[in-house]
Amino acid sequence: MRHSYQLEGEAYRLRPIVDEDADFIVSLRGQDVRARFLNRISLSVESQLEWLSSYYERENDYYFVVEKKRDNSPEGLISLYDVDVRVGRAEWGRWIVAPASMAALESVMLLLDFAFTRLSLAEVYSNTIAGNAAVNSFHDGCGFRRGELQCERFKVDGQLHDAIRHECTAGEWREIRPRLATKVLRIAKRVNSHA
Amino acid sequence: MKDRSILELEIAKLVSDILGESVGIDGTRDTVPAWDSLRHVEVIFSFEEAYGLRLTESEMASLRSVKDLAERAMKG
Repeated sequence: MRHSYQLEGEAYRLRPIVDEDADFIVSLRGQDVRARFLNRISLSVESQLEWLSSYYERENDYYFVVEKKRDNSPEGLISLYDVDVRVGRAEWGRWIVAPASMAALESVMLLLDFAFTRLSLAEVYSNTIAGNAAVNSFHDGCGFRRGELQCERFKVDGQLHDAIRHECTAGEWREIRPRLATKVLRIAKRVNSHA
Repeated sequence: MKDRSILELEIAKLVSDILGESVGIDGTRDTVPAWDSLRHVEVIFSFEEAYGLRLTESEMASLRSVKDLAERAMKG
């Protein structure tokens, strides 16, 4: 959906995605070392624009570009979608950060703050292809709780993959957040120092 | 100046201690799943403290292996 949330962090911000980001999406998906976990069918600017036009029409879907505050350069993508305000739940994902960026942790923190504070959700979850060990390790390391294995949840290039679900309630986020915030601050000092 | 092979062993141990699993001198972020974005931050800051260095933002992201870190430590 078209939204106007701009979420300011320490070194990075999340801003709404727009058509002009289509080139960036294609370039980012092309350089990600985990591209094998992404569908290759939509790697053109035209198909991204088409996808974005359907995204704008979809309610309860917030797609953001992760941008470095210092120079406004785009470094990643992240989304909160399938937002069910009635039950207070949403999925987060479509998360890609450029290999040369340090924005991973802060982008997740900004999105979960958004989910729990601005939207007042009770729980968020993510689904990651089981074979994507680095991202699953990241979620485990953050302290997100593993949920049920999602059998054949993703289809990538015609092949079905199981997914590992990680869940986090608002209460758990309050416990987890301070430890991650310390790391985010430490990274931000370096990123903002232009060293 | 330490010998490069000794540095690689030291750094492999530093990374192993942080990840909680054995990482050899050929270990990289692409081949060691536990060396994820979160733990990379811990690796980088521990590396800086151990060798009295201050990495640039670009180095923090681009040093992705034991050998990369050893080479950076050699430069001082």
